[in-house]
Amino acid sequence: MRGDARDRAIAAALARRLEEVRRLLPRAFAVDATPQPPVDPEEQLRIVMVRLWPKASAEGSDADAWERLAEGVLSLALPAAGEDWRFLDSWNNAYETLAVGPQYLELPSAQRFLATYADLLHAHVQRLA
Amino acid sequence: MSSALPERLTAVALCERLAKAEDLRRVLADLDIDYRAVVCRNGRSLPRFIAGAAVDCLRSWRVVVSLISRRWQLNAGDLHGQRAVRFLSARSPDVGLHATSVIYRRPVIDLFRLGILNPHIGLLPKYRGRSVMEWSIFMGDPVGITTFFIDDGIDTGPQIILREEFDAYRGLDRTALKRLLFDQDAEMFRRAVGLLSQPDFAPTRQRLEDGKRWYVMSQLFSGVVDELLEPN
Repeated sequence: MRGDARDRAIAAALARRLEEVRRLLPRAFAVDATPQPPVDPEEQLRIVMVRLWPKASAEGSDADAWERLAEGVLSLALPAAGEDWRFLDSWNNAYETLAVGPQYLELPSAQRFLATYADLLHAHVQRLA
Repeated sequence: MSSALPERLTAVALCERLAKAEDLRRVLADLDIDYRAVVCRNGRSLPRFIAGAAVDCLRSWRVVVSLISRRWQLNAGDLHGQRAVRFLSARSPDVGLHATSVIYRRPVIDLFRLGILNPHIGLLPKYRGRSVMEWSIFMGDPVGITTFFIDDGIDTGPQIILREEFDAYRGLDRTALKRLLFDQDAEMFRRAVGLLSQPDFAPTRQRLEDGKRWYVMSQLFSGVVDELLEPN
């Protein structure tokens, strides 16, 4: 498949996800500050995907595991805005974990996560348009 | 590969089912090698392991002969346990054929003179880690298999023996394509061992900095891959 068709498929998927995320967000919520990038994004991505995400998505996981995952993923906000899709995909995975455990949606960390995720998705959709 | 090659390579399949060891034996049969196998339970359920072994023995008399003649070892323990290590040490194997789910530790890797071959379903060095078939498609790259010698890292072993692209996969869905790639393992072993038997063969080198590690792909991006695989 040619690159432009691939970009269209990615953009459409991200736009669908953005709609979904916006439905979960309270209108008034805004991201308070741009998170600081990690010193070593590659290592932070490894920690998120090898340690924090599997723990948070395991059966019987608790709010603490989710909070740690949200914190880890939020620290990857800047790399996730870039062109290396692996970083945005750590957000996609975290969102899919949150969507399965909706009891955490009211947590401030979840709201902050969703607001930042919506911004990231919006920026990527715009970039690919 | 090296001037110190023995006349016949000793290759040991590292498996979790006797049937897998037998499948590999069949495919490698045309090579002039000394083929052995270690079939370990590696922490899986003991009743299932025994039942599986019984079924595999009933299906093939060759399996029974290989066990009785002690060319193969059926081991209810772990590949890193004493019994498996004793079996391997006694045979001074040249090459291991990775067909288990274990993560190899250095003492076992070091038992093989050349190393343990792994047919990885991604093209190294670019695609290391998880969901690499999916990431290749997502990124618009060819899918393929790289057969290389394992080291302690995640798909970072410096010696690549064989790198094979597959482009005739259109029309297959994600699951079928993954199955197709995994099912190439015996053929990849056959070709890699064949290459290693050639005295002038030189592996391709990969350096740590040549690639990056990929992780489990999300449902969102997996959906994109499904769409990209659909016939136009």
